[in-house]
Amino acid sequence: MIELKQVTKRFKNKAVVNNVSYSIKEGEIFGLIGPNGAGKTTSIRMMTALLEPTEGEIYINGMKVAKNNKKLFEQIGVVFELPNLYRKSSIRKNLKIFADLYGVKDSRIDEVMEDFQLTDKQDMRVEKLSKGWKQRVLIARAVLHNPKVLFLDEPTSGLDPNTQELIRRYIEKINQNGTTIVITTHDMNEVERLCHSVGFMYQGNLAKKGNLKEIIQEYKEANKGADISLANIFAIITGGELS
Amino acid sequence: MVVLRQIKNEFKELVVNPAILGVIILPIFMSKVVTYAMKGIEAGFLLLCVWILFAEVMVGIMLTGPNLIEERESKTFDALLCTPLTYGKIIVSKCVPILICSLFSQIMVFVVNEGINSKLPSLLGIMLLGGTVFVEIGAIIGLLIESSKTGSAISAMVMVALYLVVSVYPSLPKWTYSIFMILPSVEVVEVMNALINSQGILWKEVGLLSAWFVILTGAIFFIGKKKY
Ligand SMILES: Nc1ncnc2c1ncn2[C@@H]1O[C@H](COP(=O)(O)OP(=O)(O)OP(=O)(O)O)[C@@H](O)[C@H]1O
Ligand SMILES: [Mg+2]
Repeated sequence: MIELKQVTKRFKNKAVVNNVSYSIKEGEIFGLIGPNGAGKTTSIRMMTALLEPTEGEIYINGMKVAKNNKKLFEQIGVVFELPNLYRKSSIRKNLKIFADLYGVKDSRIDEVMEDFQLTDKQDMRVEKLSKGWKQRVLIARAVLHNPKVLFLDEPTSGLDPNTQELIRRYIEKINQNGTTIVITTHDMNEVERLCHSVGFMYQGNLAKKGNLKEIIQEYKEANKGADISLANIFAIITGGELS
Repeated sequence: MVVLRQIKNEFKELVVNPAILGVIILPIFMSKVVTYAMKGIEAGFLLLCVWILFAEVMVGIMLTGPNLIEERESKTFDALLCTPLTYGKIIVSKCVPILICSLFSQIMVFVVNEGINSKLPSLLGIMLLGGTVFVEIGAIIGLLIESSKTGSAISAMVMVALYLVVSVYPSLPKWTYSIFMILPSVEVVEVMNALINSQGILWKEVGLLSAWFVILTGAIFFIGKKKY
């Protein structure tokens, strides 16, 4: 579904993503994890054509990711790291603007608002919403057109447990309906719960990739069957000690 | 189709904002007041052209620049780029509604001062070309400047400089005109003035203004290629 081929992104000669290759299967939830500054957001920005790779190529559903590929943008949805909504406009207006761009009917706006419990608040201005509610609008906006692939950059960070749960359940739901999902997060429990496979990024490199269960098993065996969590593996990969 | 829908959205967004309506209406209102107050003084037509220019510069630069910066600053620009809209279409959907407002303001300046007469249709071409050039200048400011604060200040500076220059050059030695005529605001006023006074089309000035249009359009695409 998604394929990165020897992708490198340099900013002023500093490689922020360094010769990275992996593929993400259709219908899976792929977790892109790694410490702050590892290159996760940069990777997502390249997969969504907001940044051009310095070297390498990315394909989604057989199409080369490029700025002018209208068909590509009909198939992907993006939840950005920061809530880039029209602050002065209402929730409904924010959704309506994007619904129009995808040629999506008003009934679909009602549907996603229902999914995120936004219906009662639809006329509120976005600037008056708390972080969690902005995040709901942000995700609702990204799924309006039922994208085949959904990118989520830290969708649950800084939210209360109930909102996190709502979002995780929604991710599971649309994944079961066939949406391929790429998610970044710093919550390793979330990764263990949601993701089928993961890519560990560390200092721009892909330190580890593969099926999540297999990776955990592999580290378990290497540590003589010790009960090892993803957080432990994270610490090992980033040079921390196994505690 | 997508662009048309977005143009409609952007247009609605503009006309419900009282401050923006103010920018569109101010030139119309001021032109009437000032021309009335200065009645009897010569150069009435030149004054009218200067007011039409005022509408063009004010609406074009002051609305386009800050509007685009806000879109980029809030990163909603990125969100738009991830939809079927392309960079070029986003710019067009921002600029066309403002251009419509600019034309409205310019035509109204003419109508409230002169009424509807046969000279108005002959001015529409230059109103459109001039209006487009100033919207493009605003767009370039909007694409290059990073913060709203700086952007508003620079938009205001460029606007005032381009506007005030037209009240300076007529009183300078004739040879300086060959320098001043490079400026789009001087071209607009001269071409309009000649049209209103039935002196025909000033092809040289029209050519230079068209050159501005081509250069600025190229610059907008170049910035897009580099940055987005
Ligand atoms: N436009 C840019 N110009 C220069 N450097 C950049 C730019 N964007 C990102 N970087 C650098 O690239 C590196 C990776 O950034 P990125 O945002 O991809 O990290 P991340 O993995 O998403 O981190 P976080 O978990 O904090 O969100 C950082 O060192 C950052 O400073
Ligand atoms: Mg990030």
